Amino acid sequence: MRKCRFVYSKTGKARYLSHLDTMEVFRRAFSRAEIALRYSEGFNPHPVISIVLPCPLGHESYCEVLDVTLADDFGFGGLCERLNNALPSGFRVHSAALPIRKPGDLQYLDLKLELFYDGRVPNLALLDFAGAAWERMDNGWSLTLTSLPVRLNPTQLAESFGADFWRVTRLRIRDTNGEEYR
Amino acid sequence: MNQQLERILQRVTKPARYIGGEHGEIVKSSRELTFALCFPDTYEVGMSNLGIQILYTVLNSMEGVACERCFLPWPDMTAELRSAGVPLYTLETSRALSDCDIIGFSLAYELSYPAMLNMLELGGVAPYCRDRGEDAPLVIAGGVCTVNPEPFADFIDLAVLGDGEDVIVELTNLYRAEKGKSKAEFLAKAATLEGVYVPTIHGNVREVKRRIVRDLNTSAYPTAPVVPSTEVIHDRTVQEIMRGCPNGCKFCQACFTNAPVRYKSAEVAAKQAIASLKFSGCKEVNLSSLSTSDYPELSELTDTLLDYCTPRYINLSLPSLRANSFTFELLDKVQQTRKSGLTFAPEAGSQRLRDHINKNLSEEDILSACTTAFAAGNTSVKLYFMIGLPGETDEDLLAINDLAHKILRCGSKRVNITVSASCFVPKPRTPFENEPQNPIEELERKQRLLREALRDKHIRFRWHDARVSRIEYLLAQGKRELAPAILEVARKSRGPQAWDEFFDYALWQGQLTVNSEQITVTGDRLNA
Repeated sequence: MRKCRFVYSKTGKARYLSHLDTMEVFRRAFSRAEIALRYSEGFNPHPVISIVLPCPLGHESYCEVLDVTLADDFGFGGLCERLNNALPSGFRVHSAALPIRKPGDLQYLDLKLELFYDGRVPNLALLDFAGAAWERMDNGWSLTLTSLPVRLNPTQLAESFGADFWRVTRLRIRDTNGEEYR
Repeated sequence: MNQQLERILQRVTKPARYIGGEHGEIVKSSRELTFALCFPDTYEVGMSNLGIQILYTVLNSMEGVACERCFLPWPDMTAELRSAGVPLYTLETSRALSDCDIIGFSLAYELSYPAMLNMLELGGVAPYCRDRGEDAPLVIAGGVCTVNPEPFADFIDLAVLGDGEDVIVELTNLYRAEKGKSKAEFLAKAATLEGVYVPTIHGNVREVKRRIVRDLNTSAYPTAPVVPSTEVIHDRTVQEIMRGCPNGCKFCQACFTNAPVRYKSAEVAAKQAIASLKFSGCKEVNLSSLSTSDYPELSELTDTLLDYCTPRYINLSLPSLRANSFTFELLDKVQQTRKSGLTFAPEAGSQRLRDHINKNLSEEDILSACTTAFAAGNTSVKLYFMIGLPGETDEDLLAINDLAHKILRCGSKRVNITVSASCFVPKPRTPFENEPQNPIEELERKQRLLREALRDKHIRFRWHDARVSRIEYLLAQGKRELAPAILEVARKSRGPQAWDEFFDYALWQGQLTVNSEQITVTGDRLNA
């Protein structure tokens, strides 16, 4: 048995799947790809799959983290490809590796916020928002924020700009030292 | 996906049901023809329907044909689509229903008729056939409800009777061959196909021969089904093992509309089931049939499937089993990991009435089965009955209470019983089709009588809304004159009528009273 940590993206149509739906999508994908997982003991055995910091419904992400225990001691080579062939549209697994940091060590996020305005577009670049890179789009702004604390609610943040429509995308996850979370 | 749709999806509940993109979805890049396969209920209900999966496979296996799915949106999504002016679209390529060539509805229950019209109107298609021009899509219907297509005949160009998988291919090919000719010319040719009813051509649906697939071993079957990414009603793969039912209970429409009984061989069934499980990754496989105990190779099939399922933690579920000792040996084998509750459908409380409706189940069968089940550790039993059956007396009803108490005494420990009573609906093409339905007041009196009798803390009594059964009866037996009432209900209702929370009896009653002069139902004038 061997722990394995997958990093995947959840974009396009997949962003509309809830956390529970996503867990089930992966359970089925592991089964189709014939990657055997360790099952829980007890009355109703099920594979133990955990998503470290689930992405809110509707948000896109390029850095979701999913931990499982593989039933056999096989290597990680080829796992991503097998899983990608079995996943529905919008999911893409980037890496499979031994987990290094604990779930609690995931502390900071880099986010992209796209804000769309139906009427006049306010000049948000005038706002002094810590560590933000502003970029003007046709009918709004694209804003990249680095090292936001994970506890911050991105939906509230997006709404605070008074946009008529917004998109949130997770770009990167960081550990307690601000390094890439692994 | 355009931003208008993105904005809508951000606001509605469970947006996952409106996006498609599931494992097993088929998106055709080049096409001559788009067939919108519609189910007039939500995604969760429609995606659990085996008929939809079979037709999706069959149609998409045709070259040049793109079959795309469309389901009824929840009221919040309906309102959003309406206010944004976005027409109802197919999941595969977000194509408006009005841009499809053929729109096919699967009608599985009468209360979904208004939802069919909601979908058409939301998709930019006129509900009445006569209001659709030559360029408008062809609208067709299949499913068990086409046994009496008259109530919705004004809305469809044609109906398919019986098994759909062969005739749908013939119809689609004919449509391609006749492209450029008028609808009337196409329909005249379609009317000659076995199992096709054209309301503007045929005088009576009983002139049309039901279509029957003779050999289930060679007919198309979805071994690469679409696997929903979000939770649906039945999260499992379905393996059909037989069609039809040899028992012939006199009230049962499924039995008479699916005759004759046909079996799939255990070898083919096992191969298909394992292929579907491998493809889908589901953790349950359900053997689909109307009477599993009558399947001749049940032992062989379950043995083969268990060999595959058990090491992979896959559950095997067997519906519609008869209560006998063979069943218990079987259940013992199958339920190695999980013990689910036990369900019986005696349908009537007394042996006299059970014999009268041709329900082949004796009290001894039920009691010995319960004794065995309780001894094996089960602690609950569910019993299904029907009230308002032809020839039913109050003694027959009270016999339900006696039976429930006898079952309570079968266990050495305390057990719990759920008694569920539905209301008898005389369905077309059954031996009871000409029997009257009890009036609502009589059904409600019978429900009260049972509720009083079944007062026991170990017995739970549940009953169906008699008003729902009344409307079901009118729609099942109604004639063409019902059309305006169904359309009015569709336009004025707050949500799908097949859902208890939206069923609006006052609305139906208002509509049906307005038209009551014209509506007659076999042997019973409507006086709602």
